[in-house]
Amino acid sequence: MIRASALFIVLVVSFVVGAITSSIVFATFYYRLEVADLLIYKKLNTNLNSAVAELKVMSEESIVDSLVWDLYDEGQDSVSVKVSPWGIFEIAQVSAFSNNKKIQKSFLFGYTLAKESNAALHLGDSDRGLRVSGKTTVVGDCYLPQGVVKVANIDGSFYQGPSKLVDGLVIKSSKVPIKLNPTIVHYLDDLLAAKSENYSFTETDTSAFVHSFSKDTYFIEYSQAQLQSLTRMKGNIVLYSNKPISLTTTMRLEDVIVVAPSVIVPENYKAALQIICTDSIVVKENATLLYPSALVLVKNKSTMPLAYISLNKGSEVRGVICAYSKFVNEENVIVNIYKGATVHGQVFSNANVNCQGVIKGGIITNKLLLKTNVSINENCLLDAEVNVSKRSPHFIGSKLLPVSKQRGIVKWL
Amino acid sequence: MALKKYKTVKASSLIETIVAMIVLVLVFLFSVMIVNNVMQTASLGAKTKATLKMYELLAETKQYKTYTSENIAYENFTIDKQVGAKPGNEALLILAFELKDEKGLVIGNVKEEVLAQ
Repeated sequence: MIRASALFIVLVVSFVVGAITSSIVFATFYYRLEVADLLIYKKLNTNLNSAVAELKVMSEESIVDSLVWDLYDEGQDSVSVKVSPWGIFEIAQVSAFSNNKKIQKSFLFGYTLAKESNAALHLGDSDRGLRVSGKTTVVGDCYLPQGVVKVANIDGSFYQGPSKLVDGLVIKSSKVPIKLNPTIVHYLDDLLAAKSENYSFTETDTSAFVHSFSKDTYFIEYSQAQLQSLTRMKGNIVLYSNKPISLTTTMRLEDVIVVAPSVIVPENYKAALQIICTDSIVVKENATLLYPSALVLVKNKSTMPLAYISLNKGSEVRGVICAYSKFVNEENVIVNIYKGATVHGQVFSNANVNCQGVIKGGIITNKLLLKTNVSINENCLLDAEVNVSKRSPHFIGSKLLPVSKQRGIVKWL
Repeated sequence: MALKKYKTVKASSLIETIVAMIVLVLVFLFSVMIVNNVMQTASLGAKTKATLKMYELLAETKQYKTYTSENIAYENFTIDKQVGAKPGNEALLILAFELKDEKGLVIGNVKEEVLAQ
């Protein structure tokens, strides 16, 4: 027998309808919540972009370690920027926040080049102008001693380059040498001496790790034996050694800073890193250091013999090469760019550069010192190519050298 | 005798029927309220779509650097785009977008700063 029981049936139907409608209510509620979150994050993202734009044009004096401000003075668009040095570049951590929601981005930034840094050649003032020989090509403005460029016969090689010796303006060099940025120089000194109280070394024997730039820097001291077992290191890490070290091809380094008296970059190595040394840096055949890499040599002891950076045949550096002595009139510093080596970026030395390779960018040096098997020639180029027009228009340099006020993003981290 | 072969159904009482009807009416009322709510959510979806369109327009403006003020009318809403220098900082432009409904009421806005050059 079937009971009519209308009330019972209605209750069952009501329960089913209630379950369906309440699930609709919950779905609607969460949908609205998600949409609200999406719109908040979209707004935070635009605020973050605005903060990055402001940072690009902010005056040097306005930039302090940590800065918080309201974008439109309406009390709704708070952003913050934290700036810290990272090798010859700087790192910015930009955040946009609203109530308990926050988004953050980190990037490496530098500066667009000033006029004097954007030259193909910028030589120190002396009584000897530039002399070119062989298949030398110079494209870009040049600051030359006496404003003079002429052809020369070097080791029996005649000039066979373009009819225009310099494809650009030739300007007389200033008697005042180019000065490096004292803040960055001081930071590099601190790194080399590892004396700052901020530098507490992390004890680890891990062979691979990645460390975010949103956290404090890891300062790690590795022996050569530990280095041999290292496979991967990426991010906010300064790798120290108080003895000369050789990198190995199995070691994948990205964005890290390597500090040691001497560093050898092995053949066929590929990485993007900054190397800071006091004695020497050797980049062996066919090694490639990707942008934004930097090779920095700081000769900080006058008793030390020749300090040098050498780029061998087939090697390529995309970034900045900088070698300087801290002692006035000290000439025991040289950057050797051998035949077949390529630099895409900037080369600086406050002493000497021996350029026989290809520079897609410019050279700033006190003197060009051409060393061949039979002779040493001052302010000479033989079979070299210095072409500033081949440097990427998006190249961003370091404020270690003269730069404009306009900042640019070197790399998103 | 033939009728006895059919199943017998016990009829509900009058009270039971009345209560059942009341419950049904309540359930229907509740359902109507929810449907109404869902309809409102649908209109929120239209507002969300318009807001997302505004962000899309901002991205396009930055991509193609079309830094000129304009008023763009869509089917159910309009977007008023204003471009001007940031007060006190000529190197920056402010791109301000205002979303208005059919009645001209502002239902959303967004601003972003970009480099003037």
